[in-house]
Amino acid sequence: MKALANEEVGTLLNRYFVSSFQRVGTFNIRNGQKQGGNVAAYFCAPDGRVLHAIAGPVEARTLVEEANWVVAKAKEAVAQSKGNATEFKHVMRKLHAQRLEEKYGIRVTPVLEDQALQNLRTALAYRDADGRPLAPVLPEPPIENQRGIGTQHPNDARVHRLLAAHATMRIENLYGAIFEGILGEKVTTKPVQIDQPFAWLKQRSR
Amino acid sequence: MRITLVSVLIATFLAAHLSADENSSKNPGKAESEGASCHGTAVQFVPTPKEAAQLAAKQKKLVFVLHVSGYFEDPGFT
Repeated sequence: MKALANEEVGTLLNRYFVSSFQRVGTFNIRNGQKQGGNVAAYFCAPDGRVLHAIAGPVEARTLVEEANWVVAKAKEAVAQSKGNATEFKHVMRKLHAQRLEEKYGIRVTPVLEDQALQNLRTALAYRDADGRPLAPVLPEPPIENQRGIGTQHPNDARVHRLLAAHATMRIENLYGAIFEGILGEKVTTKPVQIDQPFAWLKQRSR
Repeated sequence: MRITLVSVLIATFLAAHLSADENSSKNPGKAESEGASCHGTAVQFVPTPKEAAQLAAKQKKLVFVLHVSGYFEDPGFT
């Protein structure tokens, strides 16, 4: 969370965004050490449609760069779409595909039409530890150039690839694909698990 | 629905550009929202994403949502 303590980050986010948070995962504390856990950030329109996202913790400089990018590109998309919501969606997805190729050399064709989502009742839905379905699994556009195939891509490239097909999707349908699909963290409502919740008590000799 | 979305988006981004420039000289980086807390960061957080969405529509801003493991309010459990 150090990036969020950065003054430039705070100024930028407070200027263009209203911020909030949600607990969607958990971690364990064993022998006083934190195990597991992660963070994802979403830049959304007021109606909850995701314009951009960051998967995992990042430095302040990266957070500033990504926030500036989404603000600039959203304005560009509004100007290009000229009041058409469908065209706005198309432009945002093209912008993600464009940045994916420019920054990482990975080429995908943006998916402009919304695909039928996996039903939450299917086996492929992201589920919590109790088996309750939480979010649909989202298909990613196939990589088209040899350079991008067969290599491990960084999280931000994977986000761009996902959003080249699903940008402007509502956050409740998208978050599973990022938090669990990209970060590999189980989405859960369970609390933090502590192996010694009463560690301050001395063990009595028997 | 589409018209609503379009009008919200246009109003948000264009007005955000204008209002941000106007407000920057008066109150740089300050979100004027009741109930906001920084939780040890430089960012002002409102308690729920729903409130953030309502406030963003009112202030013509975007929404930033943080998904975390643990309890964001407690540094020992974040």
